[in-house]
Amino acid sequence: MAVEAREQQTEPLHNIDVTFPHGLPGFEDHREFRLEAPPELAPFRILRSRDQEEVAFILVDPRLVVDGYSVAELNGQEAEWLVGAVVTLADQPEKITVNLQAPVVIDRRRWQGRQLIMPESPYSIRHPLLAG
Amino acid sequence: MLVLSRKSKQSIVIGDNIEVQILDIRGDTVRLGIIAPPEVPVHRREVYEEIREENRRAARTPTEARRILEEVRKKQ
Repeated sequence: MAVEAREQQTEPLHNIDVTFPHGLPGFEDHREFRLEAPPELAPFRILRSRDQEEVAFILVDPRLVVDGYSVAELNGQEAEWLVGAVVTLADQPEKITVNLQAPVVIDRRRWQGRQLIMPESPYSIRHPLLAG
Repeated sequence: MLVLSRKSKQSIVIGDNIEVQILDIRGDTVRLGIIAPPEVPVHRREVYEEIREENRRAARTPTEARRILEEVRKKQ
């Protein structure tokens, strides 16, 4: 994936408050988040916890990582959802991975999110962000 | 922990709207059928643990996240 080049499919949304009624696995107590899309970090977004300011996740649109990426659970209603894959950062860029098996999905109408877990999908938990 | 014995095809009900049925038992494998509202997440424990672990590896402070991303973009 070319990190800076691709045209963004996402609208310019900045600093939106999103509720995760179940938190995220491992962060079950974190319910209130803020989704930030700083233009200088595009196409990445930052999902930061408002319950504990020092916790943040990096999200990237999984369709930029894998062509044809789809989430069966959304039943083709993708337009109503914002889908972001959690990026696991590393100091060396080639070691950065993306969790395609458990995408964060956010309902755009209610700004409510959850992390889906799709063990039956063909997608990996640690897919390299940068191909070759 | 509440411990209940069930036979094949029997079930238990949790709260108002969750039902767990024993579909069949073959050797040491039990197949369960679970009926729960869509907002109740149901996962195999080991799969959930794996995602939990990956999320812990992925979590950063906002400052650190920004720093690493800026470096990644520079190297591109």
